[in-house]
Amino acid sequence: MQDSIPELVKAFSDGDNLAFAILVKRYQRKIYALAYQMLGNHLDADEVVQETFVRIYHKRQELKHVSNFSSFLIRVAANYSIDLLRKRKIHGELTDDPSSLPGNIQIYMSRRVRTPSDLYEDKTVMEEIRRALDQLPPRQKITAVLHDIEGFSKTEIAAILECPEATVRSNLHIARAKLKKILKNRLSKE
Amino acid sequence: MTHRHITDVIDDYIDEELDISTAEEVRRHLEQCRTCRAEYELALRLRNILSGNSAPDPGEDYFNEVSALISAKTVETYQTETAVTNLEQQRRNNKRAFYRSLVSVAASLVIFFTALIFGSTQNKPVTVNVLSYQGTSRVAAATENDDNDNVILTPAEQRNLIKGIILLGSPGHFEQCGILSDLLP
Repeated sequence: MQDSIPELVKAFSDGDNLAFAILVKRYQRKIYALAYQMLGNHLDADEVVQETFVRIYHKRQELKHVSNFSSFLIRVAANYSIDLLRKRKIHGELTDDPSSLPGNIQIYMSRRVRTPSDLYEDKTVMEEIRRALDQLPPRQKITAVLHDIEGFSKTEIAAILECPEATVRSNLHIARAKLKKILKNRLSKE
Repeated sequence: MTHRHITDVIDDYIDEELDISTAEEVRRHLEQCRTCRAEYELALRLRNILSGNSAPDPGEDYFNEVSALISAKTVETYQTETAVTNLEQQRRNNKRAFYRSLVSVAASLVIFFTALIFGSTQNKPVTVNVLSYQGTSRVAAATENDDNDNVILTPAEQRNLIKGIILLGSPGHFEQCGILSDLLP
């Protein structure tokens, strides 16, 4: 477990399945969080987590030429999230309907809030942000999520999305301006 | 520094991506300008609200379950696929070896019978016993008329006869060979 990421990636690309299992453990929360922010529900986030690692497993030979595994992994997850987002826009979105979630998932998701009023407030804010983010085009949305929610730098985002840093800045600027407009009422309350 | 200029750089100011002198200039302007300060606070609130919007935690059990699922979809499937591929490869090899041995046996048989047939005709007359036939035939009739030995055909005739038998014969051989002529309607 003491292995560094580059060592684990090298071992994995050489066929070490234990190294792959460790990489899954280390990154699955990050991928889940990103996917949840992008898609807004557990079931889609779950699909992104699984599909991302399955794709990474099949691309293990390519990893020998990848300098930054984290960016590569996030890119795979981001691209799949964008694909799924577009699909959902056409075929209808999923929601975190309690009846569709396994029992243990509901318990954990409800544990993150302390009181019923917190629950209500958190849910309301989350829902408002989700609706606001949903109004952004996929590229602007992923840029805003990666930068303002997940805390990636502009350089990292440029590497993840394989675009110039200027594009990231521009997308972020437009996304923030739109979010400010959409969330005007919420922001004035804060 | 103008209001317009501040609006353009306010995000970089919050991200601490401005050089020291520009950042200082922005800070001083924000202290004096109420409109720009309101803009700055709005941007800061948006940033706080977004950064505080962490995804819910589905719990450790979920992540353990997902790890197992991913393993089943990747490592275990790959191992099964590899095993199946190896088995198929082995089956293909066995089949190929079987056909190869079958061809070898067939070739050996052809060589053996050819050698037997041609070997038996080398400098050795064909006797009635070799082409014995119970039915009525000209060969049998010829044998009965021969007092010294059983020779009824010359070596050239024997060769032609055998060739004829192998190739189901030309019309001339059908006449010579009683066996074949008797078999024909």
